[in-house]
Amino acid sequence: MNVFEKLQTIDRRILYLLIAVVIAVPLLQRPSRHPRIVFSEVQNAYQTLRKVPKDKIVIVSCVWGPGTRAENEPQTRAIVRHLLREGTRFVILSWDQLGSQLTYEDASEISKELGKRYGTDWVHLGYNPGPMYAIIRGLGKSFQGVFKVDRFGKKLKYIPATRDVRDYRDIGAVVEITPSGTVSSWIAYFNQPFNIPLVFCPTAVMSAEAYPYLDSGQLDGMLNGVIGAAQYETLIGMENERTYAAAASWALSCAHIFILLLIVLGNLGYALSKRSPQRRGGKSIV
Amino acid sequence: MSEWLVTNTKTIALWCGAIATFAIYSVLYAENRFYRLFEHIFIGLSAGFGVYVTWSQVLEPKWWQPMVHKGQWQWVFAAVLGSMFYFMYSKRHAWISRVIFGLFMGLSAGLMFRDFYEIYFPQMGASMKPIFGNSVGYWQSVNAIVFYVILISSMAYFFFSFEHENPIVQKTAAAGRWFLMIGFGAIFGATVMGRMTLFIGRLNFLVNDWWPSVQTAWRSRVFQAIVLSVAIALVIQAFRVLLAGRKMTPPSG
Amino acid sequence: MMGSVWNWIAAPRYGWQFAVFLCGALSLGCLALIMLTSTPPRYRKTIVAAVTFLAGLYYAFEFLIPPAFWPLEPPRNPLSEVQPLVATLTQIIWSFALLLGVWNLFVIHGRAVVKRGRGWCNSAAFFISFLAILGAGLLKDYTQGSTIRKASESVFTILFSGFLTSLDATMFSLIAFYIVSAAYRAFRVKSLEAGLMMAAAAIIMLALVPVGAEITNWLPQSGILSALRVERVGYWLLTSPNMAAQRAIAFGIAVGSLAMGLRIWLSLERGNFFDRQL
Repeated sequence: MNVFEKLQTIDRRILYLLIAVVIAVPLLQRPSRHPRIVFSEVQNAYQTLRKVPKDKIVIVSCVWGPGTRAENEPQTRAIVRHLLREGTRFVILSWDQLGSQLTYEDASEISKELGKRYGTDWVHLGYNPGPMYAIIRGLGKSFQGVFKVDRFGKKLKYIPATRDVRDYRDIGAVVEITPSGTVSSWIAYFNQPFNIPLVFCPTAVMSAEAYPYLDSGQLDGMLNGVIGAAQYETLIGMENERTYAAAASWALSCAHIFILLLIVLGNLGYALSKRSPQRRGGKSIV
Repeated sequence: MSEWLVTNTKTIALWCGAIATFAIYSVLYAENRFYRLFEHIFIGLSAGFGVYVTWSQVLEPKWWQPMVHKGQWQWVFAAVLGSMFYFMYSKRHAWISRVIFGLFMGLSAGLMFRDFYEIYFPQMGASMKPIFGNSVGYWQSVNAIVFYVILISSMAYFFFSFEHENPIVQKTAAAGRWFLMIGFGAIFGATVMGRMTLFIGRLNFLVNDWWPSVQTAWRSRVFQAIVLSVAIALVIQAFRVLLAGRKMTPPSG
Repeated sequence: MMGSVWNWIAAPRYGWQFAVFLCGALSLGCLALIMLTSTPPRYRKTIVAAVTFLAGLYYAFEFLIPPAFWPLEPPRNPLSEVQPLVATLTQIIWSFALLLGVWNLFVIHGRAVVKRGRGWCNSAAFFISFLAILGAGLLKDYTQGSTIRKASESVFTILFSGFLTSLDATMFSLIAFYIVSAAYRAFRVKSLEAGLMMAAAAIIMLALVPVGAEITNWLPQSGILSALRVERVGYWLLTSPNMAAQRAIAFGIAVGSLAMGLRIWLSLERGNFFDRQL
């Protein structure tokens, strides 16, 4: 058995340990350096939200929960921080039971840090179960008719940030932060019919499928997973801060190189073991 | 007790999070009881939290309050309609649950015209890319040609209405298959990134949130004694497994 | 006349009037359910198909009929006016379904606890954790006393932030390990197609992360050679060939979903769920 054949039979638990070590190093070091390259869709997302008129409100629609927190939370935090700094009012709308609590905690923390106030600068609309299509269609007609109260049960007409929001005309943009294919509901039932900008923040898994919509202008910008969040942080002036998104982008660099090495090694071992006399004419190891 | 709980909530939550994380990751070594227990705790907590949040953030403010405190008695009909879901547990009357499912399926199906118009018409419009013209640069022309070649050949691959007998169609469809592979490669690359990020998130919790609290706790003798006891217990358990010659089942994957 | 009847019905009621109207409405609802339970089998499919069709008709007409068609001033589609009500109503009805899954879990784990079979302790842990978070949540919202309220808030935070979010996130993150294992053991380049996919994946994996830009940093930032920088090649792959391929897939899905939507709407869909005897 040569070394490549031995490598083919390596215990998978050793691989698990190796990937943990490879990722832990940049996380322990926690570099402040953010990605140098900022993709154009991230820049477009930034510009879209910057241009929202101050008399309009932004809907931050969060479909994520703890399962994809590592990807969607940095996106949410970056967007919320930007909106609070710009002084653009926004509402957070959560479609996930657990995500409802997490998004409230995130926005509260950033709002406190920046000296902003709940109710005046932002509002959390709590958890909203489906069906998403009915709610999205309805809110274009009457925002307060669909979301009557905030997460604490207070009527939206008595909250300063939302009391003037009647329908789609008072909404400046929508940010969809999601780990699933929900963006099409916003495109079809809200943003496209009412011509309102839409920024998409998907998990990386879904990002490749979004490029046709960026090309057609149905999406005005996109933050691709945690890398998109790190790039967005660069744009909002956090490039020298030690953030989770920055550390994660370097940890991802290490992980990707490690996985590519594994693929190459696996294929090399496979090719060489096929050539060896014992294997020739024998069964495939896959 | 209550005061201690309130003061140390954050630290306790941190430690519970770390224990829960290790419990789930223990399945990567082998299937075990510790993992099974936490799996059930997870299901219980999810279900309990689901009931709590649906009541406190949806049903209570949007249904119960308007009905009971604002006199909007009509909302009781929503409860009658909602109760129809539960007929699925009756063998005789299970079909009634289909009426309410049919309502939601119908609503969703009725949106297909708008879906098609609002989502795919702009996509068709955006597919008409200029190849030549005064405002079209060299790279834009190349990209437009690449776009047309890939779009047409990939669509030819998906065209199943007739058999691909014509050699031109066959070759176009074969090329479409190759181009689709580039798309799938992009999805695979992005998927690896996404899944790795999830693990990075957990490791970041252990390394940057929990580990500092371990360092703080290490100053206490009691904590050192607990860690030592747990370590001894683990070593004894490992020896028992080895002596018994039990083979632990490695995880699948 | 119709308007005044509607206003009388829709008016809020308080005190004994509320009780009478609520009981009346509840009796009416129960009567409708009793009528449904006694429907002969031959009409059942028709009822389900009719409800599905009528529900679909709402959004179809809301989109297809222009506001000018309706004899209203100013021109508007009355079906659009009731959208907020439809949204709230569907949301509430949907929420009533929440106990469907919980009921199943209770039956399965309840049986395990009663029979004391293998792993019954895990089932008991299910009940304890279910009741603990539900109880802590309700106590923190509905109690007045500050000690109980604060203690229940703490317990809720420990259960939610400590256990629930960690368990959920860790469960999801297990996939990362299986991807590592699959990358090493299963991703074999055996054909041209596999090679193309592998090459595209490798370039995009490097292009998306900061290290990609460092690998080809020796290439110039501008000029013809700059097009060979990994991040540019990767980004071009995403925005040009990938975009075209994804659009082709989207067009396929569009036609499929339109056909599927029509089949469901008109109750033409076949299969286990749709063909079952009612």
